[in-house]
Amino acid sequence: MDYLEKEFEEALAGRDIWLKIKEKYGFTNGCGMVIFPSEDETLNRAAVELLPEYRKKVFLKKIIAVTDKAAVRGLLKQVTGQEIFCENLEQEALRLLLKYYRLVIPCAHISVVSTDEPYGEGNLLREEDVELEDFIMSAVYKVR
Amino acid sequence: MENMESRILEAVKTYSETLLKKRVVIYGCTFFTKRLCMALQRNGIQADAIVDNDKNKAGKQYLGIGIFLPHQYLLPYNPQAMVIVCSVHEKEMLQSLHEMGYEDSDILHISSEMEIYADTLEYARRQMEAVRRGAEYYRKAAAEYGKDTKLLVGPKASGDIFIACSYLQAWCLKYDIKDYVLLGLGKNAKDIAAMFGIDEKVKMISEEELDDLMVAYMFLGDSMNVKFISEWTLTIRNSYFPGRQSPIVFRDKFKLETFRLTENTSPQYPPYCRQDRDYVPEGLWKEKTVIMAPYAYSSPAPMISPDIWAEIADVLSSKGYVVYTIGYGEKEPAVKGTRRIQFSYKEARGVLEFAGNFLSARSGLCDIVHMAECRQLIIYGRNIRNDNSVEFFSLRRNYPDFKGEEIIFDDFERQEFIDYVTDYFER
Repeated sequence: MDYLEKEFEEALAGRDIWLKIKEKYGFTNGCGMVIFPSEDETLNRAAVELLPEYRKKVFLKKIIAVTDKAAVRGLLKQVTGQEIFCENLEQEALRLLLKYYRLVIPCAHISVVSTDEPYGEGNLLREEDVELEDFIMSAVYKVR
Repeated sequence: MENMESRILEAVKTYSETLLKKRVVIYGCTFFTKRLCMALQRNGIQADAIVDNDKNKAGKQYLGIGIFLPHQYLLPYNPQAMVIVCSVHEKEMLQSLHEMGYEDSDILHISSEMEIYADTLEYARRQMEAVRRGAEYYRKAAAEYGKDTKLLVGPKASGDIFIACSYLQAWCLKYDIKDYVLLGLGKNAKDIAAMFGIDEKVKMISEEELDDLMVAYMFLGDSMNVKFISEWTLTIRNSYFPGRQSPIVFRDKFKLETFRLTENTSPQYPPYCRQDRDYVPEGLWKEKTVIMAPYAYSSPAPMISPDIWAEIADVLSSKGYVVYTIGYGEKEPAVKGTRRIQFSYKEARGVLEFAGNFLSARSGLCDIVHMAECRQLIIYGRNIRNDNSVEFFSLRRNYPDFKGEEIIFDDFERQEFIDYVTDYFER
């Protein structure tokens, strides 16, 4: 299964990226990571705006928001400084980080802001009268 | 997660003698609290209180246990208290307890540190091995059934399987699914599929194989022609919407999220032939039998002690009912004063309609027999971590044709509850 070996190499490269971020921000238990891979502006905007509430509800010391999207970085400026940090990655590095995430969920509080499988499923939003904010808090940030 | 459950069970068992002599306090109304309560109950121990820093929870109850702010309950220092800490916020909790004067000997700390080290190389390599095994399982299945055959990975819970099966036909039609195989974990998968006439499509899969397949699918994605029916296993997602009534219910999870159907898609239930007049299940009295189903393991299941069930059975017997308990295996004996009964899912509706009366903790069986024409009283437990749990699983909300009644155990005092239940079948 040669193709698997290549996939695993990429996941391990993603692990290296995770470890670097972890060291850079002093990431420990009680910290959270939110990854923004999507180009959905509405989704991203709502998710960014809810970051402070998410942090408070789950008693996180800090959140590291990770993205390769300039638009998301722009949105994050409104919330940084509330123990929310923005880590900018190149597109390829983000892809590798997500590859690692798909192999291992490396910590208790990690979310991916996306409605695409396997991270999420957007049909609930399309078909039901579900508020976007509720969807994000419940299905993305998994706040009960 | 199964590792954590084992640790909880082991820890409570090991310290049960000490816990029995103390006032047991659980720190945090968390994901683990219900498991802790169940482990304690198994050892004959009742938690006295839950303490939680969340002011919104203080003053409420969870599983019948009062919730307090930590300083409200734990100060001044009480040498009789034993505090159980089992949470990802364990460090903060331990620090707070030490500051309140509690020593390590006053604390049962069940570490969740497993989660901190999930990023080790060793763990990554173990996951890779799981991916290899899962990919190999898929390769063999694809070779056996054809790569165009969808592998549907069934859920464990009976209610989930029943609901999923009810949407299969619509899903196949909408997405032009030519063929599928339903991978089932337990005998219940085959039994429920048989109700729908699709038991020949069921292939049994072991827990280990399912775990590996899931890891492989999460990693490799759409290169595998696989669909996981239950999101409980695929991702830990939660569609409870805190703060207001959830706009979606249990059934919607499968209809909208899993199968990506539209809101107005109707489920297809198995055909049912009403039993003929000569049908008399052995030992049952027509319309004067109460079938009790106390054993439920779902999220909204109530925690009702065996003595309460026994008292209910006793009162019902004195009112002239024959009372049976549905139970399977050693861990589900008949409630004291009743006889045990077992029947297949296919027989369930007929048995209940003959008996006339169904009293059940909320479980998957309730989904399967929701349409049975008999008196049904379904009992829920309030889930403080999620106010909308009862609403989400409500039979009335999920099934417009459900004609029974639903009550929440935690809303009653003990005797009030027993009286309400036993009077119900007389109305």
